[in-house]
Amino acid sequence: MKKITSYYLTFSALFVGAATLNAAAQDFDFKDPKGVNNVSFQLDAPLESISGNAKGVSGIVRFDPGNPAAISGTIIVETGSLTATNDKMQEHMLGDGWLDAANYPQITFATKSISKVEPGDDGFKAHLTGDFTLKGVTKEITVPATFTYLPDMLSARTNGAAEGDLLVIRSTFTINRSEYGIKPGQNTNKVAEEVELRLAIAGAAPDA
Amino acid sequence: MTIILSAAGFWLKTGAHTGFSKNRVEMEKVDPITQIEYVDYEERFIMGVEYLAVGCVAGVGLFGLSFFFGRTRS
Repeated sequence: MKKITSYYLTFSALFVGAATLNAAAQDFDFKDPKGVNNVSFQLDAPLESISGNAKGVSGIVRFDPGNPAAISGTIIVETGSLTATNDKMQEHMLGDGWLDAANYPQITFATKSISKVEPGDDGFKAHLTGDFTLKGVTKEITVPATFTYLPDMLSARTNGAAEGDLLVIRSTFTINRSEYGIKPGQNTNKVAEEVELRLAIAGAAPDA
Repeated sequence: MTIILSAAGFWLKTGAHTGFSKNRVEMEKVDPITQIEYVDYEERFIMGVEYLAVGCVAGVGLFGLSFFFGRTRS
């Protein structure tokens, strides 16, 4: 009887240990060859409305489903992947007068802290504070975001090629292009200073 | 008049877009696994108001020039 009890206690301890390991932090990779991860932008000036999309998203975010407030990481957008619906507009946007994609090939957001964590409809919501870098200028900003953890869904996304979890991050926030040295105060009747950015990205954490 | 009507006709045919011309059109899609909304682009020309304006100006300009080159009556 003593032997059975001892065996049962050992097995329970191992099971709890395994469960704890499963809830550990994972690194989610946001590079998406399917081209679904995207950041859209919108500028509404009196004479012109500009919108477009960027799909060159990458980056690593460390997330623990058991401790979502400990989230950290960096999201990167390739400046050259920004696409407008007009070729001439896109050429100007990426040119040296505006975003200067040749010299500033990446737009990044690196998290520093998280606050106002609360449960949401599909996961949880929070405010992320981090360093946003655009055209070589870095500013600390705080953005609202929603996080949806999808355990064991990587297989469905890769048609069975890989097993693992997904983390979906959505965020909508506004920046002022003048604060990043992008023609401050100029052409405001055609290119609004307020730029709305909408982030909808999914990261994958394959099983080890 | 032909130029103005042609410009207006082509503008209407491509969707009467009231903004500037587009070289590609956004096709909105939703990823079924993550429910992420994303955009794919279809390469297609949509005429904007700047071409319509050029067509109208050209038509009016030619109309005005026609008075200088019209036959004089004796």
